[in-house]
Formats: sequence, structure tokens, C-alpha cells
Amino acid sequence: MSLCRVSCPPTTSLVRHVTIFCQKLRQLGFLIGPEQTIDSLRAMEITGVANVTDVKEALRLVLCSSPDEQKLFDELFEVHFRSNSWSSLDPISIEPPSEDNLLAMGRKQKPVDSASPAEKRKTPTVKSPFSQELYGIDTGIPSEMDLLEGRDAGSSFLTSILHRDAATRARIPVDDLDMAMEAAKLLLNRAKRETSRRLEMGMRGRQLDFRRTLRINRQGGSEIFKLAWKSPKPKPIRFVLFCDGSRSMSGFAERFLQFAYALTCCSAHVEVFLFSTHVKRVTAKLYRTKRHELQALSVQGAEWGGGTRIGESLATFIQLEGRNMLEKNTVIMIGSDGLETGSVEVLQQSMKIIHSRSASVIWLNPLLAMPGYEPTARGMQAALPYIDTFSHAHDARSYKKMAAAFRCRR
Amino acid sequence: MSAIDAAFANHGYVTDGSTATALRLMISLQKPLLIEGPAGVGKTEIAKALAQVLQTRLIRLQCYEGLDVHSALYEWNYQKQLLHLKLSENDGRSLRQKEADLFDQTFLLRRPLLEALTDQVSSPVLLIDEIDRADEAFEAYLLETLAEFQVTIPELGTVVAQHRPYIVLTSNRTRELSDALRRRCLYQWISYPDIEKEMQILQAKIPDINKALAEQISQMMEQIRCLPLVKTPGIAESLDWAIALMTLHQGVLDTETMQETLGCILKDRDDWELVLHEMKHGEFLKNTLSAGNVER
Repeated sequence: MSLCRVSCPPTTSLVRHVTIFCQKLRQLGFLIGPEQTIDSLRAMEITGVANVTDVKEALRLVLCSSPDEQKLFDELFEVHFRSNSWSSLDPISIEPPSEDNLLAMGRKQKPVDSASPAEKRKTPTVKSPFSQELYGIDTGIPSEMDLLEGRDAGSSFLTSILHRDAATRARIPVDDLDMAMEAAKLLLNRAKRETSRRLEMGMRGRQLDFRRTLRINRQGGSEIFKLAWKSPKPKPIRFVLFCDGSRSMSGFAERFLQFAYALTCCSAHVEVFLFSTHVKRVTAKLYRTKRHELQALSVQGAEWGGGTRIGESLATFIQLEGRNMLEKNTVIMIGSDGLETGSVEVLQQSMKIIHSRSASVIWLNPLLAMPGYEPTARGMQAALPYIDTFSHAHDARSYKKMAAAFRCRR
Repeated sequence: MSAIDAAFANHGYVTDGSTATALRLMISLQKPLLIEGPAGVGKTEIAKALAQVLQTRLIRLQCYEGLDVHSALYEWNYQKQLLHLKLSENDGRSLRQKEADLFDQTFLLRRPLLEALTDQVSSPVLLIDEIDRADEAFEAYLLETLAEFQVTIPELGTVVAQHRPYIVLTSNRTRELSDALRRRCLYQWISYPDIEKEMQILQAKIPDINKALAEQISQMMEQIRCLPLVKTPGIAESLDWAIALMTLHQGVLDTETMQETLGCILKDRDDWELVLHEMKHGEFLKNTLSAGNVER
């Protein structure tokens, strides 16, 4: 068991540090409330603070709620608890987390390795700081503003993350949002609805609803004279949207995201992915955004800008989520110009799988709006046989047109 | 920490550091544990092993689309209620008495959630399997149970657990679970094991297996999982495969045996073809197999 290598300033307590850490994570979108902060302290009480790996694992369990968050957590933990900015005695220098790790999503999770080579190189020079002040009460917690502006020691890294995002943000336009909403509603209506296995109450149906029958007839004594029925509930159609975030798509992609946002407002069964060189899920972000916050909404990620590897991105999607998201009631919508820089064979293979396992495939290509455009690009040609609706859509009105013409293949 | 490892190892479950911490915290903090990961990596098995280690009952709720509160929590035995009404029609008791009788515990059918909360003897392990298969509406029913260890039945009132169950939820990430649910749980991600862990699991689950075969299978699976497959095989498939090979009395894995037993690990025709192609033309699968061929 290694000695504790967590470094804290000698004047502050562990409680304060954990609280600040939780606040920082919350700012980055982690689901952390006061309850989680308390739980993380209780967890540390249980695991003890003698071994930094135990502490890290305990905090990760309490504070994270998805694999992506876990990856980010691992790096932030290192920076926060091992940073030399709090201790002039500690000569440890921190390498900033790799961008890959910070932003790559949907990749296979790395095995949790508590002692990476980089860590092993660092020699512990600080004695355990948790001597007396382990559970000291401390009210000197910095405000959110302090944290945001980097006034608190050690938060400079976080602010740099926040600022770096700003460089790769895509803003969703707010104009014509009502029109986009209409288009989304129209598309939802046009999509054929399957029935689910869940039953719905009603006065007609196939199956007797005993519970309600008894309730209705209780007022009349024990005589049953009215029957309540159950029938299958219509199953919502599911949409999976892929937005090409490469440079060639600027202008179109924002509009596509606006439509994606409109769809998320109208239906609870929408998944949105961004791709360029690899694919990233942004569903949660869109769902969390209220309408008045749209102006400030930005979709961060390494996927914004750069080349396009449509085939590989789709293949990754199929491998990771395909089993679950590709169902017979799934409508796939891809917004891309089809200028593939990766392998065309992979694209064709992926499109074949997507076509065979979905209700319909819509491909929106901004180039199609140009007079005289023929889909002759290699990538587009490979994908074409597997597309049901091939259209362009550059503004909210044309999305509505597209939705009006949409028909499910099955 | 090692005590948990050892206890689980005794019951044939190989834990790693983070899983052991997860189990320990789950027991001490009395919070539900949400386990996510690909199919077939032993998520469900954790709950089973936990029940064995704690020597308590395992109550399992398999989620599916359309699962509603009456199949998960409680249901009244309507047929019996109707019969009771008919039989007591003319016994001259007041309406109030009749109604009190009608919603008595004797007419209550306990479904898994209620069963877990009303255990009189000890804390059971409640496994809520594949929660992502149930619809969002059902998640909301669960929140009360997960946070407060109680359920509210309109006719009976609130039932509070005497012995708090150890709740394990598993999910394959078919859909995103709600934030409310995630917030109430500890979160653990289990991914495919590395070669060493897989070997340990094979040896723990199948004590008769020889070490060379276990090693070969683990190496093979590691490489197969790197391929872009439609359905990536999990540990469950490795175990099936190992048992199949042992039934065929194969001490080592060679090309021929592998082709014959490929059905144990690959459940899709395209995957099958891809792996056969890799075996013929690819580098890594060939190397592991050639070792087997030479030994033979």
C-alpha cells in the first residue's frame, strides 16, 4: 500500500478541498448536489485516506454517472489533488490531460490503471496532510464566480478547459426556431407509429383491465356491469441524427443542430451525434438546454472542424450503440456533404447495416441545393443505394418541406 | 479490501480494485449501485455473487418494455377479491368493514420490489436487471424505492423497509437513464476484462481447465474484441467456449477446432465471416493459433 501522495495546502482542510472539487465538477456538467458531496466524504471515511487509489475510486463511484464523466474525472482528480499549485514543497509537475482523453467520447473505456507510468515517475515528497484537520469545519468555500474566474488556486486548469471549448463551439441559431419546431412536429407525425408492448387503459381494447373494472364497479356493490379494457400503446418512433461537424459543413451544420434541438423538444426519443474524425453523443446536452438558453448553447468537442470520416464514425456508432439504437422504429438522419476522407468501403458497409436495421434513412446534403450538383463524390456514391430520402435543407422552411415529403420505408 | 476480494473469489467471482470498492461503499453507504457495461461482462453475476457472499436472498426483477408498477411492485388479487365480494354479499356487515376487508394484505400479490422491502429476516439483495429495457415511466416509480427504501400503496399506506435491501441495478445503455435515477445511485462501469483477469475468471469458473487453454482463449478473445464486430463476445461467451472445448477434449486451440466452435462466441453471420477472414489473412489471430497448431 503506497503512502498518501495527495497534496493539500497546510492551512485548509480536506473537506474544503473535496467541496471545491465537487463544485468544479458540477460546473463541468457532472450531476452533483450537496448529497453527493456529503456521500463522497462519507465514502472517504469508509475507505480511509491512506491510499490515494482507494480515495480516487471511492470518489469516482459517488461523483460520476457515465463512462465519459469517469474519464474526465480521472484526469481532473490528478490535476486537483496532485497539483503542485497548493504546495511549494511539492516539486511534482503536472502534465495537462491529453485532449484525446478529455474529449474523446464513445470510445472503449481504458482499463482503470491506478499507477500509470507517469505517476510512477513522480516521487512522493509530501507527508500525509490529513493529520488533524481531516474533518475540520470550514466555511471559506470560494463562490462560483471565484471558480469561474480562476481566482481560486488550482482552478486555472478548469478555466482553461472552459475557454478552450469556446474556441471549438458551434452556436445554434435562434431565428426561425418556431418554424423548425413545426418541421419537427410534422416529421414526427409523418413517421409511422408501431405499437409497444405496454398497455394503455381505455373503454375499448383487447384485454380486460381488472383493476379499473373493480374500481368502476365498486360503487354498484359487487355486481360487475361496466368493463374497462387495455390495449397496446402506440410506440414512439425514434430518431438518431448524425451531424457532420467538419469545416466544409459550417453554416449547414448549425441549422441541422437547430432542427435536432427542435426534435428533442417535441420527442423524448431523439439521439444526436456529432462526427468528423470520430463520433460523439450530444443528446444529453441538447435535452438539458431550455429554450431561452439556446443563445448560449454551444456544442463542444474535438468533432467540430477537421476532416470527415463518415464511415468510421458510423461504424463506431454501430459497434457501440447499434445493438440498442438501431431498431425497426428508428429513423436515421444524416446531415453531411458526403466528402469522405476515410475508407469508402467502411462507409458502404456501415450504411448497409444502418439501412437494414432502421425504419428509414434520411440524408441531407447541402450541396444538393446547388444547381447542377450530381452526387458523384466517392463517399456519396457508396452511400446512395442505402438512402431512402435524399434531400437538401438549408433553412427551417426547407426542413418543413422535407418533413412533409417524408415517408417511412417500413 | 482483500476480504471482499477473497469472499467473492470463494464464490467464483473475480473482482478488481474498483469493483471491490464499489461493493464496499454500497454496503456501507446503503446506496443502490448502478452498474453499466457491455453485454456479457458479468454485471448480473455481481448481484448473484453478492447474495451468496452475504448469505442472503436474491430477489430479481427483470425489466422489459411495458413493465409496469403492477408487475414490479404489487397487484391486488382481483379474482379473489371478486369472489370474496360475492361470498360476503349478504353477511350484513357494514360497507366500511367490507372495504377494509377487500384491501387486506391477504389480497395483496407481492411483486419483487415489495418483496424486497418487506423481508422480515434480513436484508435481501435486490437485482433490477437491464433497467434500460423498461421505459422512462417506470424509472420514476423506482425513485422512491431507491432513495427512501419505501413504497407507497394508495390502499395501504407507505411500506418502509425493515431491513434495507442491497439494490443492484444493471444497464446495457440501450438508452440514457434519467439524471434523477443516476443521482440516487453509485455508478460503476465494467468493461471487458484484460487477458489476466479473463484467465482468472476462466480458472475460477471452470476449475478443471488447463492453464494453457485458458491463456489461449483469453488472448484470442482479447484480439477478437478488437475487431469491428456486430456483437462483441463477452465473458459469458468465453466461458461457453471454454466448456465447449473441454467437452470436445481439446487441450489446445488450433485453426480447425476454432472454426468448428466459432458458434460459441460469434452470434452473427457477418462477424463469423470477418473472423474467418482474419484467421486466414490477418496477423494476430494467426499467431495465437499457430502456437496451438505447432503444439498439436
